[in-house]
Amino acid sequence: MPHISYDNKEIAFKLVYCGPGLSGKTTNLARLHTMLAEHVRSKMISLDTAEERTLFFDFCPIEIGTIEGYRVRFNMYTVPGQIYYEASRRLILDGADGVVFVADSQRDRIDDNIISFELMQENLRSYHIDVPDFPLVLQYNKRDCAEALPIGTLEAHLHLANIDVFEAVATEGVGVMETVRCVCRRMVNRFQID
Amino acid sequence: MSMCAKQQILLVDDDSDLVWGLGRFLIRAGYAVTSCGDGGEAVLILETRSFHALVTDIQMPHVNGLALIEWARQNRPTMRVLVMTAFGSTSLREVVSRSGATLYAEKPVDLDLILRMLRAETRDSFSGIVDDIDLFDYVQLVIATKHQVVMEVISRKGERGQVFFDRGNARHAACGDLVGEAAFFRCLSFEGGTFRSLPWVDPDQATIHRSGEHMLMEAARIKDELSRDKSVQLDEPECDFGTDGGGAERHGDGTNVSTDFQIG
Repeated sequence: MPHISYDNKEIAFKLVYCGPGLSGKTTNLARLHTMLAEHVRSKMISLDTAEERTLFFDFCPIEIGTIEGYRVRFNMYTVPGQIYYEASRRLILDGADGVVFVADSQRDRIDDNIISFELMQENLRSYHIDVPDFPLVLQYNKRDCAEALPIGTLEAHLHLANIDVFEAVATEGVGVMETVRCVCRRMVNRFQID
Repeated sequence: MSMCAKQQILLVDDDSDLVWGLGRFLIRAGYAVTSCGDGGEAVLILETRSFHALVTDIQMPHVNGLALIEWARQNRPTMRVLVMTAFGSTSLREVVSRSGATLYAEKPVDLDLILRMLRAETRDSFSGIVDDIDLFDYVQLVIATKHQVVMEVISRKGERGQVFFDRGNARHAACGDLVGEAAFFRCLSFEGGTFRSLPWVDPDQATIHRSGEHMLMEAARIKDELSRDKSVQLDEPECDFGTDGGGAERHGDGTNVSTDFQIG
């Protein structure tokens, strides 16, 4: 459930980007940050974690408007992939309202994608988040690579039915905004239905 | 404050000098103070009159402070309880915290802190005891709610630190000889202990300038990397004697344990 600040009249949703190392989680967030107008986004903060950086920032999209008079804010995070980042992963994933799983479309990364997805599911379950009923979007990133994994491959391996899927080339900004729009809409809808 | 609006304080201590000094201080601060020297007497007074707060010592001749605060918890649950003791210990602090006391202070007591605790209650808010909570969760909540609060953290080993949270950001922290970010990270690396929220007071200096969320994430990262380094050392107890290689080199995994950061 999002954090509701009654004093500030604000509802804050937590959106987390998961995926195997170097699949493009930070690139997604960094590109998104540059695409958003300055007055709706905070500064991007970057921590040097092993192999890749952990990024986070928040933004208040004007187009979403307000919910019952409350301004909507999205807190965006990438999660460090290494196993030993347990406190960080818990801090980021616990209480998440939505997840974008950024898969690497390169064929030799299929096992990494599957292992990472299963680890994410396990983490979410340990924080009492029920995956089937959760705003989760699958993004196939790096669609410009040679012989990219066909769409449907991971869904079949991971038995994912009816999951929202997007294709992206995050380095060029392709598919980045579409992915985030979809998951944000689903988070807000779920909150309003709840 | 008019006469009829004066809040009643019951002050219980067998140290007459302390009763006199603290009593005068509270009266000057606008409170009506009743005092006595033993827990048994205090119960008799509490049975007949109502008080805004009870300020009590622990070590007393007949009925001690622990029995008194237990009686108060059962019979006067809305009354604020502030505890002072000259014989402080980690276990006593824990017992007092669990009894629902608002403040546990070791003598000599900080008079301003007692006053702040008494005044803090006038706000439209709750206080209570939370057990078995992750310190990161609590700090996250303090940051998200943008409250002004001084959080005191005490580790199981008795190490103590304070973090000043000011509307979503940590402005200052102190822990032993450490101040600023190093103190903040130290407090959040404690492996178990107790914490309490004290009323806000401006810190003497602002030693932390990064956002609250950034500090929290950084604390988690440092904690994770410290645990990893510990486990690596446990796994490799016999390696590297007589070499000058640093910890990061020993791991040989190319990991970056730098605390550098960038703001894009």
